[in-house]
Amino acid sequence: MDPIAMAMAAAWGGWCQRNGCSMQAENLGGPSQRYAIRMGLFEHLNVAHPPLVEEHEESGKFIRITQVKTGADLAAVIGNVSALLHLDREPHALAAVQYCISELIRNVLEHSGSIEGAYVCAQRYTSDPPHVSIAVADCRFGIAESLSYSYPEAKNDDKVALQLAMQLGITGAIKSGMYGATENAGAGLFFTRAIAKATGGYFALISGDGAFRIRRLRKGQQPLVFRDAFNDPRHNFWTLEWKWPGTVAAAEVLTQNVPNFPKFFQSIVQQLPAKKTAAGKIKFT
Amino acid sequence: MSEQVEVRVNAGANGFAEDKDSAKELRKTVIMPSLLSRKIVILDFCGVTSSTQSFVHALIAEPLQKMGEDVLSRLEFRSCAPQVKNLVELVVDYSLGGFSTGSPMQVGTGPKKKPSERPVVVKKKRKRK
Repeated sequence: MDPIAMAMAAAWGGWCQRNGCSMQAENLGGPSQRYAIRMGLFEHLNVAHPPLVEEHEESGKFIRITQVKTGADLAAVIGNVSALLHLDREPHALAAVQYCISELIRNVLEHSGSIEGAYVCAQRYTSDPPHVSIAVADCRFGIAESLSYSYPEAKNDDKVALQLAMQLGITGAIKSGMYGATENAGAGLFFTRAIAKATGGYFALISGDGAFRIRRLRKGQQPLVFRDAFNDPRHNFWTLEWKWPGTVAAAEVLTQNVPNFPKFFQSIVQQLPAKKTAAGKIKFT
Repeated sequence: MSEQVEVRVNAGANGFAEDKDSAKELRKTVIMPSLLSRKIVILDFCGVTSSTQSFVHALIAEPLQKMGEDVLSRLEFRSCAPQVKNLVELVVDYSLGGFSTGSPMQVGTGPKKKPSERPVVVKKKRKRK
């Protein structure tokens, strides 16, 4: 069981409640049930569940499913990352995780139109390799709908929409329009994908009937981040037989591969040669 | 000498500045009006250890896009941590010139190895004559 399933189930539950659908849980049992209880899924679904028999240490492993509707909600989640995932002794990994969570949720708040907002959860795994899995899900417009104002070619093609969404500068710098280049550069998903890939972790994006993922890097491989995610040799794309009414994004950060976040981030930024450079003209004091 | 306006950037939780709403507020109420009236704006990042590209974009992209490179002579970035400095350079560069396109990026902070990944090549179907 992974956070992505929990975030999706909670977001879907929110959509069902808004649309007056009744929900019930069947075939409960086993580790998945325990995991769902501990992550708070049934509370979000407003569905009764059996009591949790085994007591677990609640802190230090996961961020329970949290509904984020505002910037203040997001700030609260960000503020809890260190304590809940016990990353206080790994400030560089913490910065990478906070970065991914912030950008993924901001995308929902700014682009999805979701009434319920974003559902986020995360888990820290201490098994080899130690990593943090993050998932954010929403139900509303989806990427194709969001991008179609600036990119009509994305409107009826979720594959094209996902491909565009993961490129650098998609909603701001290339075509300014409804998103307004002053507010967005359209680089949030790109940098989240780049951070996940550069640590060696996976990245996944689902919207409509499109499902994309970049698999975890093999040991010893030097990561390459591709501007077009579909050029990544470790990617898979599926056209689903159903449509997700919104967007799901998940990223994995292999914490041991972020020994120094500033240098790590610099290694990404340095690979983005500027069309115009103002180096030397920026006053740092 | 031009008047100076100091703007303290909110460091957020654990020194991680990501609140775009506050960045936008600062930009609209202090940064843009000050720069438009030819004042020098000092952005003080004291206490900020890391941030997001979106946050820095919300803070400074508009004056760069609307006033061009010259505005850099009236912008000062104080106490920037290394990652924040990277972000400022990135946002300044693409705000003035856009993103570039090119080959895959080799990243990572470990020892350099020969990249074992190759881009996916889409094979074109041969047309039958």
